[in-house]
Amino acid sequence: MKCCKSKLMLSDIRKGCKAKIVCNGCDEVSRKRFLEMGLNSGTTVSVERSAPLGDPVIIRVRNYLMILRKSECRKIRVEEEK
Amino acid sequence: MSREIIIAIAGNPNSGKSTIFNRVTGAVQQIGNYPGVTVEKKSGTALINGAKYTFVDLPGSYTLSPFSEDESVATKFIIDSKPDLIINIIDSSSIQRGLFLTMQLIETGIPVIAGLNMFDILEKNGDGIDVAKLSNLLNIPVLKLTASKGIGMDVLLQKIPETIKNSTVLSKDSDKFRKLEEESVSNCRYSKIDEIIKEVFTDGNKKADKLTDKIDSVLTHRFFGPVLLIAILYLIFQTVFTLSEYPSELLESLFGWMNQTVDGLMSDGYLKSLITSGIIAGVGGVIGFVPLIFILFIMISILEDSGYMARISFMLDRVMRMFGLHGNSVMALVISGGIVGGCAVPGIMAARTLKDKNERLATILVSPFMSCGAKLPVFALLVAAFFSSHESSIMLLLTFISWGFALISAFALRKTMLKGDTTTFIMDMPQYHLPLIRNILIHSWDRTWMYIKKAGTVILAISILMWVFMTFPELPGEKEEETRNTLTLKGIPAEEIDNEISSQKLAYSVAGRIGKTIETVTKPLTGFDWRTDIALLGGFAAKEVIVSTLGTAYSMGETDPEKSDGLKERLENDENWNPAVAFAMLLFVMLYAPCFVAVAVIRKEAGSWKWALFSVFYSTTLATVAATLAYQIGKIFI
Repeated sequence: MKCCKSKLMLSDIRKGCKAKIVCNGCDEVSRKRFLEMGLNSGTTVSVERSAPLGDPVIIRVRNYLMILRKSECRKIRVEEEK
Repeated sequence: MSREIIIAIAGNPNSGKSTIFNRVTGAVQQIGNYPGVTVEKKSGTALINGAKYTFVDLPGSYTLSPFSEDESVATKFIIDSKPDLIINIIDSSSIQRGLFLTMQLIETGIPVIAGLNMFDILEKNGDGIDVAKLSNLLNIPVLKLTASKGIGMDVLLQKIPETIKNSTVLSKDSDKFRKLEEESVSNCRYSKIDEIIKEVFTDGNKKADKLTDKIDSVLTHRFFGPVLLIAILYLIFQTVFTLSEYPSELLESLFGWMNQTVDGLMSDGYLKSLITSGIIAGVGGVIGFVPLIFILFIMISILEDSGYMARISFMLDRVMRMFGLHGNSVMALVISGGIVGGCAVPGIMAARTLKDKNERLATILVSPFMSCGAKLPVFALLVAAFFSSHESSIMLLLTFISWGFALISAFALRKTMLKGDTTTFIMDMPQYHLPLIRNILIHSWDRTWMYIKKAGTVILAISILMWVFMTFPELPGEKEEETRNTLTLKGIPAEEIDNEISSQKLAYSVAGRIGKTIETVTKPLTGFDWRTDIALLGGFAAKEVIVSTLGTAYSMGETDPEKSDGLKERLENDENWNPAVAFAMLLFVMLYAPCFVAVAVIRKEAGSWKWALFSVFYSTTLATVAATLAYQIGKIFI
């Protein structure tokens, strides 16, 4: 893997916190999908809220809201941002 | 000009493409338009400066490289048909994302006009976009639009011929399209977008969707979210049934009056029987539910247009996943009638938004279990006749039961025939919008009109056919005499003799004989008598036929017009009916084979007859088992 130095995943980010994407997934299919939805490395995302059962979550990226499952968040490596 | 000029309207989901399409083409005649789920392209024409242009409204997509089926419709159209111009609609508030598609569209070499829609919301939020600069940077015309209020539409229309004329025909080589797929290109596009945004976008620093955020903190709240969801659904039920009560009664009495008038004007004979028992009883039974269906569709349209439907998907995704489905399955199921009143045909088509083949098939196969608009008349009739004291609670219970069957069946399918992991769930969360009354009415009326049209064509034809089957061959005259004489000798009143004879007439007909044969099986199992069996057989073609056939079966040979009370009263007083039979019937109708139209759509969407036939077979089996259990258990309590 070319970019998996960070151990932190998007799923570890708590509600209301921001993070910067370091690597958007290690399998081809989801990476492509993430990319199309604007989740490319270098982008800042914030976790806005979670569904009543804790999953999926709503994240804000590029000034719009997006629903992601926890399982997807576990594919995205991030570093925390203040 | 001999050649047809084609203009494609493309953009992200929920950017308002359909609103623009409706504005431009004045399309009230369009069919099958489901906001948020335009899954097939629609076309319409408009005149600009005397020249005719064809507009094609494409399903919303984020990208030209196809991921799900509904998005690939847009890709295929743009790449294969090469329209003369693309109008790219962008939701101004999420321009950062919208521009990704814009860049791809420009790269195809087809002339593009970008329309920044919902510009008023952007301005209200205190943000700004330098439109002239954006136009310069992208090298295409960029316009401000607020389609909901019709602002900017004239400018857009004037720009169309101009842009087509000025466009130099670029080489549309296929290498360019292939490049759309590459990853490095995508990254490159984003850095370009970031640069552009830095230049043209001014952030008003007010939190853009503060209102949406506030509403969501209540509506998707851990505890209040689900509670409010149930409350909203219950409220919809109450509203629909309360509001539709009076107009429905009015329509019913209108058809009752028509029946009596025809009865008084015409002499007895086949034609009179065909008109009163076949056509008026058949079609009238269906038309009587138009107010109910119209109000329901208004409610569903409001849920869709306001953005609440996406929240339902969001909240229920976790639950759906336990059954091997997907948050987006909720949309398909709700459109199919998941709240009550809908249609499996667009529901099955809406399943295209699902990426995984097995998830999609499972959704398609369980969608017909929902309470579609055609089953509603049966439900409403039986509930009114046998459970009248708790009308809306029973209807709500039926909704829960249909969801239960759908989810458990989906689970079983996903564990056996359609194994596989769940795929990704990435969905856009639209901001809340105040729904436009105009759009709501257009959508609801379109859907209701489909229902009315079906009543006037398919249902009418099947009603006539059923009447023929239920009339011929006729009971021979001497047999009728014989029965009359024996019964009179026994001292039975004339009225009851008439009833007995009309029942014998029906039993003598083709349909009656078939019904009587099936009755030997259904009567002990589910309690259905032969008349009900006839109606259920007709229902294989279309569920609307069930009520109309029951109407015909129970009105045939009715001689006294004064006594032509509704079907409801007749069932109530019929010895073959009781709450246990009624409940078994409710379950059977809920679950058994999808109508012909739905079966055809399943074939198309699932890609083979195998699945269509499987759907008919397994749902009818399930229905029989469920109805049998309901009747056998219910019988104990009665």
